[in-house]
Amino acid sequence: MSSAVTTRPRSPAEPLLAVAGLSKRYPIATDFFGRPTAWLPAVDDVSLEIRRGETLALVGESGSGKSTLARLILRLIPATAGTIRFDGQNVLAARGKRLLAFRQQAQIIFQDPFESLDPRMKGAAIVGEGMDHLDLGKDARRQRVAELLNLVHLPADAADRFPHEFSGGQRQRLSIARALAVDPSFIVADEPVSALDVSMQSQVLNLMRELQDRLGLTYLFISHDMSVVRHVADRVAVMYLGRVVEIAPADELFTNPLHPYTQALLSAVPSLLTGRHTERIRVTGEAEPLGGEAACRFANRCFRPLEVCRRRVPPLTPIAGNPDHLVACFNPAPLDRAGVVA
Amino acid sequence: MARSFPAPVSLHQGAADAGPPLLEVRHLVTEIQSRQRRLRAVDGVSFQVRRGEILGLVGESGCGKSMTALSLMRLLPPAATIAQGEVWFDGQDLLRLSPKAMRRIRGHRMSMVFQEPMTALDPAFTIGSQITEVIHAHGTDSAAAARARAAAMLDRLGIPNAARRLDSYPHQFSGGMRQRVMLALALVMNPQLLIADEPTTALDVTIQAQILDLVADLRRELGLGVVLITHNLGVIHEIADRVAVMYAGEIVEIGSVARIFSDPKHPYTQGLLRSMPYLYERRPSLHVIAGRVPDLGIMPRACRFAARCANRIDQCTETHPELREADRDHELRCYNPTPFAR
Repeated sequence: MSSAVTTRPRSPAEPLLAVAGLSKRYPIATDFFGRPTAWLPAVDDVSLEIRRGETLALVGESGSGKSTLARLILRLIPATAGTIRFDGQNVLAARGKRLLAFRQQAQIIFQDPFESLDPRMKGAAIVGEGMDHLDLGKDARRQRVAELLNLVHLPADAADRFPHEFSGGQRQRLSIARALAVDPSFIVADEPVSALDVSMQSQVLNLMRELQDRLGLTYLFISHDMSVVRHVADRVAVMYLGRVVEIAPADELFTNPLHPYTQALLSAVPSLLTGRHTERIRVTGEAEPLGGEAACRFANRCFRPLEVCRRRVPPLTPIAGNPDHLVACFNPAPLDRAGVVA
Repeated sequence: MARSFPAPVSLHQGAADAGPPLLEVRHLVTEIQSRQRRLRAVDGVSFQVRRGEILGLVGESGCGKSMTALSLMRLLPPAATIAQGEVWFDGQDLLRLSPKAMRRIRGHRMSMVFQEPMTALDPAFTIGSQITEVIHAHGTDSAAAARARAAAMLDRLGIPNAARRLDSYPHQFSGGMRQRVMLALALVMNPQLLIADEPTTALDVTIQAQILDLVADLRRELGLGVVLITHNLGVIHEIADRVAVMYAGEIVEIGSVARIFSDPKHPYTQGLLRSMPYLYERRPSLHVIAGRVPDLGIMPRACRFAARCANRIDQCTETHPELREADRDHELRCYNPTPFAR
């Protein structure tokens, strides 16, 4: 199926998805003639890659732009600037059949399985909805739905049940089956377990990992929960107010975070989950979306700001000795063992 | 794995005093009218809260923790009624008070904060008028005195420029600021007891940490008793002194946080702790508690957790276990407890 979007031979080293300079600005004020005079940069000059078969986690708090970035990548909303290449194809320029092929390859699972499933549709109809254009016969379609339900460990009678008859975890498995119905290679999971209780959460996380192993899926996993991310991610990108502030392999990010915001996020995780007591880094204030353009967006909450942080935007650059670990900070510093800035 | 949880920090150890309990709930039963039947959402719940103590009430969706809180406040929805029990607060049984007498206590001697700070505030009134309304309902302060008191409360809760912000509307506040306003509304009359239902669930982690620090400070400074309802064991471990674990309308385990987290005895408590993703290790798969919570309409007569329990013995499906003392300050509803191994 992926041949539909591939026009040149691909090498395994080539990332499945490459985003460069991607931005999305929303007008927030207009003049007398309706022309925008002020903009909110929801996503601001983001560049990143997602490799085949990996899970890239996107973490950050509300308003950080992580969901907007996901919707840009899936072309659910138009970008203001930048490029997106998926499997060698220019996504933003795709039209007609190519766009359709992209939409088939790239699917999304939403946070709330209560709101993202039509309450009047039965399981079979929900899962089979995306198959309409495949022109399967009735039996082939029923067969395919049964396979998919089995794949996500739902009982066969789930086909005849309505969403309200399922638990939260089962509903989320149903949305995963729906996403898989068109045989995608890339899945965006936008806070897929945030609305679930802890016992349901572990079921869904286990299933996602199992499906990745069996089907070779590539995930963009959006979450605000650091311990969930620890469990699923191969690499982690941290966003703050529209920008990626740090990106690194998961083990590296959790053991050697360098951006003060990443450090604050990690130190806010309850000690039950971190397994040790550390002095919590107390960041004051809250994320304020309308900072001055030419400054680090985190400068007003930062616990080790420099003078330059208020004058220039720190670029995302690799650290010495590790080209996979990038940080956007003028004053990156490791934490010492106690979790306090060294 | 031999790793144990870190001892709770107790930012405020020894804050609870040894006097008579501030709140004593005895065998509370709350029922919901559903078509032809009466379903027991809360079934024989008993607990105490002392002055300056934080009791965590933890459990998954539908376990009855919010219904318990609303019963204490006598703020149940029309379909729900308290069928049995006593709620002793300040020397009187709240369940026997007239609605008028209850109104004098609610918001004055005991108050409640909810999860959704956006929907709980009236968008059409300024923050200041909503707080002074509470003051006027319970006191005789002049308009100027009430305003000064409201400003002092907001200032105490860390809202910058408090006096000026009194004239702001709820939509002009961020989520974290709105939750501070909710706390101001609840605390402005200097109550003895605060019931907080998922107060930080809708907030970002760095803001959650700020609010939890604030609640811990307030209980230490004001001797406030707190019932903290949450599904988040990490939050309970962080700030509570005692914890009650609810399952299917009942308390299945209750005791000190130090005791329950180091030596959880109920298979459900153990299952919850095992299924959480921890930050310090990445496991191949997360523990799953098999099955699902029984439906209120078809509640098993014997142990309600038996169908999902790996430790089940014959007795568990024959008779209903009572809550019994397992240890000092540790009660348990289980016939066959086993030591905890993660």
